[in-house]
Amino acid sequence: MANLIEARGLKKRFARFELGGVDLVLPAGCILGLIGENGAGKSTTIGLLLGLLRRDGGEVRVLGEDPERAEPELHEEIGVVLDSCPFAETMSCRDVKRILAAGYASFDGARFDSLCGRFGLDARQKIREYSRGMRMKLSIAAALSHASRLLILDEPTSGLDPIVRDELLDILLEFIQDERRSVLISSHILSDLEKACDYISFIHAGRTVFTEEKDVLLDKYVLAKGSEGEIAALDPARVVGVRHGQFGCEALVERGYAGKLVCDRAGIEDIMLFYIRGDAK
Amino acid sequence: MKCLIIKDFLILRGQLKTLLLVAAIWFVISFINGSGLFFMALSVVFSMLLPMNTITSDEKSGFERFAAAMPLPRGALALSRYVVGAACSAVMSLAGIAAAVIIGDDPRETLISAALCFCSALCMLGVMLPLAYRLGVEKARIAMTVAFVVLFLAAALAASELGMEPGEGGAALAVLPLAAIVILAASMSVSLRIYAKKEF
Repeated sequence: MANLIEARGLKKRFARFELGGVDLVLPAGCILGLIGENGAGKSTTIGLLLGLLRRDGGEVRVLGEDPERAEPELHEEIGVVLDSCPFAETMSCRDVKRILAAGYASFDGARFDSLCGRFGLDARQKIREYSRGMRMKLSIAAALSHASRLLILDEPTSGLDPIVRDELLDILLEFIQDERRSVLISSHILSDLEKACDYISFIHAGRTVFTEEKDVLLDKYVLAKGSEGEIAALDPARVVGVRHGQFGCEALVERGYAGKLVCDRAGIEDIMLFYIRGDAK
Repeated sequence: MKCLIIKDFLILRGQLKTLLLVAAIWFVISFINGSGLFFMALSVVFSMLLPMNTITSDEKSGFERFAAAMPLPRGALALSRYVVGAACSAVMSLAGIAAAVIIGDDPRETLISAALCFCSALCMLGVMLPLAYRLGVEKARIAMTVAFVVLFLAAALAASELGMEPGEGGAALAVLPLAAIVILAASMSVSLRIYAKKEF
């Protein structure tokens, strides 16, 4: 199975932030969710993958090419949704269609119209009259309307209602059905990623904490609940973090190492929160 | 580049009513003064104003970051605004000729003035765009105002040195097209270098 994205030790320095080593691998036919708090480096990583930023270190291959040195045609095969709608507020869907048709050789106007219809976007309405969710839908329609093998989406579900978010996830799953195409999606709505992703990559303070298959990750940890003493008795090497509450403690611990403590399923959100905010073991 | 030019004209279409209103007011003032040249000066103003408006719009919407992720050479991002600016100046120069004909200016003088205004507009465009790309629109506006005053004073000084009377643009007509070509070539080269290094 070919990898559509391979990144090792990606580094980028800014005045107030440093991406200190991000590793990503995205195989064909998969969806990779990029998670992390605000300012963790997700958008910087996406910028480096798209060749919008110049890296200070590391290696990256997107569709087999270095995005910094690749010909512009590489972008014909990448659909992009950035964190805000990139089109002027005075434009309409029809105007956006004209821009995209002139910009992408493989632009499919009928598919764009169909997606706009599916998302309930009026072709004549101005973008300034759209809600944030509608603007995001327009960006998604634009990204899905040309012959891309790879979709890179930076916070595409923010501002969308649950029904449209669910519909978007269905579209992403449809997109990878032929197992030649892949999706990289960053989102704060971790329940969405939990539904759709095959892999999860967690970035914290500019570094990759882990990249794991989602099912392996969800199977790997449990939330163990007990008293301070019970939690303290757990093997520290198997505990990711501990949260001290008013009525007891909660620890994210590797499955099989929680002893006889009461355990709940650990979701991706729990795992992320314990990695970021879990107290010292 | 075609897609960027279409995008810029679609942005300007959204401002069309305001731009037409400005042109109409300018025409009325020209008509009252009986000077088509005054209206033609608008082509110089518009050649700077309109590309700036498109850059401001792109900065606001984040279009440049999106465009950099499209299958477009970086050079196209830099050069498309020269095409748009030159096209706007050309249209405004033609409108200036029409206005001068209506006002009743001398046809020969009108054509010379239109050519001079067009070349001046290209010079201003050449000065302004690299500044806007490098400094951003707000700082570039200040630099542009200074450049406009300098260029105006330089033109007035040159005319005085050459012993030209107002309206006698023969010598300038020989110099300005050459200046426009040189300035534009240098400006495009600088803009291409700015975009080659630019991060989005």
